[in-house]
Amino acid sequence: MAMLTVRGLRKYFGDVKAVNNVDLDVEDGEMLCLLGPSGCGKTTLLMTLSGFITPDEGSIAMDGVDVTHLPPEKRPTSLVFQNYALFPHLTVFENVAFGLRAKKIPRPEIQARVEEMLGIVDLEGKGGRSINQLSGGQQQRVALARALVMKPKVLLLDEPLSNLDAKLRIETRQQIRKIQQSVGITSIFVTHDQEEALTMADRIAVMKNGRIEQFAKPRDIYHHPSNSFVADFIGKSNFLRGWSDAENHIYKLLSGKEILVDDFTCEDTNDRPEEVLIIRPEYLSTCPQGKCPPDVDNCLEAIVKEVTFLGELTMYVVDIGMDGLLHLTTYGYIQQYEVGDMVNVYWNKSVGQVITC
Amino acid sequence: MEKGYPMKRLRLKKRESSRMLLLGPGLILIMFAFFIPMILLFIIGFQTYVPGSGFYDKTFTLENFVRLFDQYHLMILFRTFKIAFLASLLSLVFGYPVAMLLAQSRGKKKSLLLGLILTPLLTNVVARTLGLMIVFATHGPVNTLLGFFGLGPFKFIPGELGIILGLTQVFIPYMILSINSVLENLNFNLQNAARDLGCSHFKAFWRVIFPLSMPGIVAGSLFVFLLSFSSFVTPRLLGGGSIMVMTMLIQQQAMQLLNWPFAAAAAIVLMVFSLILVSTYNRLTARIERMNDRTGIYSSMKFDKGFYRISGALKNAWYDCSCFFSRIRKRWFPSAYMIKEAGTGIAVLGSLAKKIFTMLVLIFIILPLPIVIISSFSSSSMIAFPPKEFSLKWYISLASKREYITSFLLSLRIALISVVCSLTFGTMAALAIKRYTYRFPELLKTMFLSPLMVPAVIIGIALMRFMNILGWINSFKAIMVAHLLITMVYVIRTVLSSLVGYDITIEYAARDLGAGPLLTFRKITFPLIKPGLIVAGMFSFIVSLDETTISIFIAGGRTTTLPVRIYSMLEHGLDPTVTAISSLLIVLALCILLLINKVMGLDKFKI
Repeated sequence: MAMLTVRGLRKYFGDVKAVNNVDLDVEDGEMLCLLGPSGCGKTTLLMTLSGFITPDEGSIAMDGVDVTHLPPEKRPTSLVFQNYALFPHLTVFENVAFGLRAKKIPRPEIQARVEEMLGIVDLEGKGGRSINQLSGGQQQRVALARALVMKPKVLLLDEPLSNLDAKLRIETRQQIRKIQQSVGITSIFVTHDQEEALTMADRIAVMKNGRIEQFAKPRDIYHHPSNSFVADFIGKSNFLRGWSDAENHIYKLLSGKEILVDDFTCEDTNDRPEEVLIIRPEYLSTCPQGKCPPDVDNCLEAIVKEVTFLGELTMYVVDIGMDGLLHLTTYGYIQQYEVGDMVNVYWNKSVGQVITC
Repeated sequence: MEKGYPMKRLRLKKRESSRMLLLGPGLILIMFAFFIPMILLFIIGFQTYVPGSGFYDKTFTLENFVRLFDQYHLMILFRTFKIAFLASLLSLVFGYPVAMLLAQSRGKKKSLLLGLILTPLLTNVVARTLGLMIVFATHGPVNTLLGFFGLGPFKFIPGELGIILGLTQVFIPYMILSINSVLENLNFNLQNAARDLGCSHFKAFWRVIFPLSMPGIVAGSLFVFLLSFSSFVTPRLLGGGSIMVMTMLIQQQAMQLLNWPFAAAAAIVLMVFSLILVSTYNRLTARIERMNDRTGIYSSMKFDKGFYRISGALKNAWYDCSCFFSRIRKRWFPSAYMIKEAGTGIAVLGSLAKKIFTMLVLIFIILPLPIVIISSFSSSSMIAFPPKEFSLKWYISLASKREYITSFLLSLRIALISVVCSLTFGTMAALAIKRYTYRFPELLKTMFLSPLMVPAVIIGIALMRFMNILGWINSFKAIMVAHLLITMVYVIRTVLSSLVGYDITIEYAARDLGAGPLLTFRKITFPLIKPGLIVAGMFSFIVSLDETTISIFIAGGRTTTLPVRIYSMLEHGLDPTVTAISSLLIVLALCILLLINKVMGLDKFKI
């Protein structure tokens, strides 16, 4: 049974549809990520779940109990704020104990629970410190401890890593994931960073304009994006315009070239939305002109326009004429090309995918 | 760079002279109008009074100070403290919700609120007190309102209650601005965090926002206490002269009984108290500034020391008790712990009550001004509110009263001269303070700003004594010196605060590119500090026009300024013509406020 169930949730701010008809089911112990560009409504959705924003329509249930109209202090959720919102006038210990004291838990129990929690987040013996004496990463962990010590049913994290520097972010990311799994708590976190989402989440909900565009496991999101927004937002993609002929597994480019494709994800309806062929840059291979391997499904002629050397990989931008530019990535030391070289770009039909625009 | 580098030495010498040129006029003025009179007053405090003669001889004595601590004078001191304490307490209770509202509002709403709070501050204190006299009159609007609830009528004035309420109304803006300066930089997400952790709305405020705003509360209370404790006009007019406080004692001893040594001794005692308060206040505000830099005020506190250990034990005991009771309640009244929906009756009522309270406070702050204006259109010859019939009678009678016109013109002339001179001297001094490094960097600044820390009554009697010695009393020169002194202090402060973000190296850049000092000032420095100068100018204009307390002591006869004229009218009873001239002053203050808003925005304006 789902720990968190959201049905038909709506929240409009004037004309802005911050949350637009959202349905979610989050399993017990699962880590869900709300991913989207800024202004897509992911934070509004999180605030609605924590109770700071009352939805216009729809319902939220946690562990089978309807909490839609409960104020934040009565909900079984704990929120880790983006800037942590630690109480600067209290010590680390007092910060973590704050919620327990509000619940009037006896002091010995508070002592035990807070100390246990500080141990879990690797802050043993730092209880007497003032918040200002802690580093950014430590503050982040205090915020996490303060939320977890309440034993909430659902843990909510609002961009938990955005205030940390790049190196610390990777470290903390793994730490949060480890703690979440060891405590086994249902968690929802908001981010605009796709790498964070892909590495930490069990499932990702990609949001745009208040709607959930795709809700799936990280691998599925990357390999089978449901539309061009998701394909563009997560990872890099080449978009090729044209018309599809699904019965013959053929996609006709603007230039008239025919491409073999296996996967036609777009629904076959009469009033068909525009379709687009997407291919990830790392699936494309290159060879000098005229030396295409004989067994490949698709092979196009191209001119190298740009070369970017990044150490372990090299990125190329090649011109395939009327159909525009293609981005491609090669790893390790393979044949290197210079700008202006004539090459062939080839790929198998299994890696391309035709999706709705 | 080497010390003996010849070019640098040459340059330093040149800068030395230009520094004296910039500082000179300001220094001379502050010495002449402030330090010399204060020192003279200090000396007089230790001299012996010859009863009945109005003279004193030069033998050293401590008798004046001993006399201050007899029963009668201790009673006055105690009353002064009591009134100041209650006024600051009331200001805190009334001011806090307004400060919260101000800190949480943005844009137009914020400007409007600031306007509401600042307008009374920029209005002549005499005009405001007149408003208060009407508001709290025996048949005034407050008593009428209370009458509806079957209460009263209360006799607010003349009386202590009237003085306390009056001081609250006059000084509450400082409390609001002081608390706001802390709240504004507070992260209100902290309240949300507390609620997320299970605190109710009120508890979240009480446990998190309130303790964090403590520095602002203490600073504001100290400031209001200081101002109430050293104010003269409000207690004199609202107390009807019968309720003696320290400032009135000083005035009475000096002007009516001519016991100068005793007045000086009382002044010294008053000054010692206010200096202690000022230095505490300064330390606290510096701390607030530091806290806003995120270094944290609480991190320096030691929690394991005596007091904190005892208070910690008490807190723990209290917590254990409340745990115990909450468990009992949970067992016997489980229904109280059932999950309740948001927006329960009490929460809605609470927020409504808070809104109404805030509105009432805002009305209380602004009310005296519209009331004066409305009463000025009354046709009755008794000042009463609301007026029964409307007429322009008092404006017409104003035109026929020569003394008001001459006083007004005199005030205007003094204000204009003050603005021009103090803008010039003050800006020069402020630039010198900012531009050059000194052996004691804070000393010069403190010297220039010190007249702000001394109660106006004391400056008043010190100057009066000094002018007497010079034979300048009641002369235009004397009143001009007094006004120049206070306006220059305000100009220096405003210009200094507008120079905070000013990088002096751009002046060097201009000089490096070949511009002389005057061209540099005209093309670089002046355009950059222009907004600050305009505000300083307008502010010093209003300060000069409003200046009452010092002028009461040195003005007289043909040099009676307008506020002094209104003050002496009010002292002897209410003449409705006063409402007309006060209304004009209120409208003037409003115009200047709008101008300041236009030039730099009210939220950047500091009193």
